[in-house]
This record gives sequence, C-alpha cells and structure tokens, in this order.
Amino acid sequence: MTFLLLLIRLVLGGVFIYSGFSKLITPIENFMAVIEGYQFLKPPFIWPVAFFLPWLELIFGTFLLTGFLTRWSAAFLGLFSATFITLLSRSLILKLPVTECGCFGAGISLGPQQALMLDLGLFLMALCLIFFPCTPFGLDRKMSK
Amino acid sequence: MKTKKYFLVGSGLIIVLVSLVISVRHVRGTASISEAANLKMKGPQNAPVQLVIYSDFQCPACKNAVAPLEEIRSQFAQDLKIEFRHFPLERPHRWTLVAATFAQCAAEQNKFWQFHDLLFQNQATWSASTDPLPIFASYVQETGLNTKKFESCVQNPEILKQIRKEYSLGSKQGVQSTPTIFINGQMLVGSAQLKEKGPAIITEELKKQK
Repeated sequence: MTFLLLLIRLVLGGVFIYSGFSKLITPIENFMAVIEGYQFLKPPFIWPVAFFLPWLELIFGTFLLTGFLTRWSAAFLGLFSATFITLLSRSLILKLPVTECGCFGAGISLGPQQALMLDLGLFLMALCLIFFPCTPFGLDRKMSK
Repeated sequence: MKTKKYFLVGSGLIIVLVSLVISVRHVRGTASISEAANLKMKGPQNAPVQLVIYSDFQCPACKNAVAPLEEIRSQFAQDLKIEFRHFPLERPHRWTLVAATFAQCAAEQNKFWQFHDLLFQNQATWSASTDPLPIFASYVQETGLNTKKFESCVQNPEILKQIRKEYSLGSKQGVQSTPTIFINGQMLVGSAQLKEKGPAIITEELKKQK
C-alpha cells in the first residue's frame, strides 16, 4: 500500500510537471489558442490563465513529486483535474471543434476523449493522496522529524 | 519555526523551477523569422511589415484564416508582405503532405497562390477523398501549369526537403499548431487571434517605422 501511494505520488507529480514544463518552454500564444478553442473564457482572461496555469502545474507537480505539502499539492492538482474534466466534457457535449486537448503542448497529442480518461485517472490519484498523504521518501516526512 | 522551514523549502523549490524554465527557454531560443526565403510571397518586396503564416492545407482552421488574412492584406496592401510556409501536420491530416508537395510545385512555376486558393476552397472535397491525386491533377490543369515540368517536380526529392525545412523552421520558432502567424516576429495562433490582434499589430509596427 505504501509503495503504491509512492508510485501514485510520483506519477501524478510527473504528469503535471511534464504538462506545465512543455507549455512553459514554448510561446504563450500556443496555449492561449488552446484555451480559446474551449470557448469558456472572455479574451481579457485568456492571457492570465495561459500564463499562470502552467506555472501552477509545474510548481504543485514538483511539490508532489518531492513529497512537499503532499495533501495540499494533491488537492490543488485534483482541483485542476476536476476543472479539466468539466471543460473536456463540456467541449464534447457542445461538440466544440477541439480535436486535440492541448494538455501537453506539442509533446503528446491526445484527443478530448483520451484526455478525459487521463484526467479521470489523475483525479482519482489525487483523491488517494488527499486521504493518505503519508508516503515514503518525501520532504514532508523528513521535515516533520 | 515549522512554518518558516516550509516557507524556505517551498521558496527554494520555486526559485529552482523558475531558473530552470528561464535557462531552457534561453538555450532553445528562437530561429530568425527571415531564415527561409521562398517562392510563396505576395505584397511589395520591401514592405515594412512582414507577415509569415505557417499553414496546413488540410487543416480546417487554416481554411478559416484565409478570409481574415485576405482582409488584412487588402487593408494594408502597400505595407504588408505575406509569406506562406508549410507546416503539414501529417498525423491528423492524411493528404496534407501530398497537397503541400503539389502547392510547392505550383510555386516553382509562380502559381502558388492560385493553387493555394483552390486547395482551400475545395478542402472538404479532397480531404474526404480516398485518392485526391486526380483532383489535384485537375487543379494543375485549371491553373495552367506546365504538366511536364510539374510531373518531374512532384518526383523531385528537393521539394519534400523544402517542405520539411519549413516545418522544422516553424518548430524552432515555437509553432505547434496551424495556422500560426508571425507579424514582424510577433506570434499569433489561430484565426481568432489574427482577426482580433493582427490589424492592431501591423498599425503599431507601421507607427514604429515612421
């Protein structure tokens, strides 16, 4: 059980690190266009979301990977996953012209259905860590000593 | 004491991440916009504003960008040079590379824009076709291209090399999806950004040069 939780922590953290990093190393306009495609934000709000979201993914992903503020980091990443699930479901219901989720920049291409499955998995992983945050080899454990 | 420790560790991690992202961005850099001179330009050669569009003939969003691009061109006819660059997304678009090859060969005979228009106007037809070659061949006739020259051109490996070169240049410039537009180096992605910000950027660029 302990090692399963460790694995979940590493996978969840790793996915969000990759997701944030791949967006941060390319021009912001790419992610702005992805957000525009989901048609849920007015233009003035697109830039701030495109700017801050990848940083938050990277920061909380790293926190989780290193086992730092595990419960809080898992809660934030779970919230992100829930938001993505809502947006992807909305795009599928409204039949928006979203052919690629835009989750990982140009690195990995996923369709909305595939991304929805992935986010559901990530959401469940985050829930596990919210309820059982004590995992081995984490900064939390070291700092509490 | 514990809160302070958490604050210090958290801040340390964030500083490391920010430095890492800045370093990677710096190392990757961006390629110069004017690296690839090509035969797919329109507008005055010495125009003060250069618009480069990375496009894919089978991408519906690229078709949607044709009309706004034309509007912008007519609005700034004397001050704008437009350059087309291939960015074929082969995974989702089965015939895009063939279309790009035909268009590039049309460019070799200075008929690129006519061919470009035909490809976009009839995108739905040839995209859905199981064999678009006869359709493309009919465009060759329609645009009055020299058939013999054209046949040898489509078999020339240099054409594919040129398309790949433009794709690779786009990737280096941060292009991930199509259409991606650069106006004097300022990046816009998609026709919505082009319509919304394109004219303002061009006006700003023209003001700068006065």
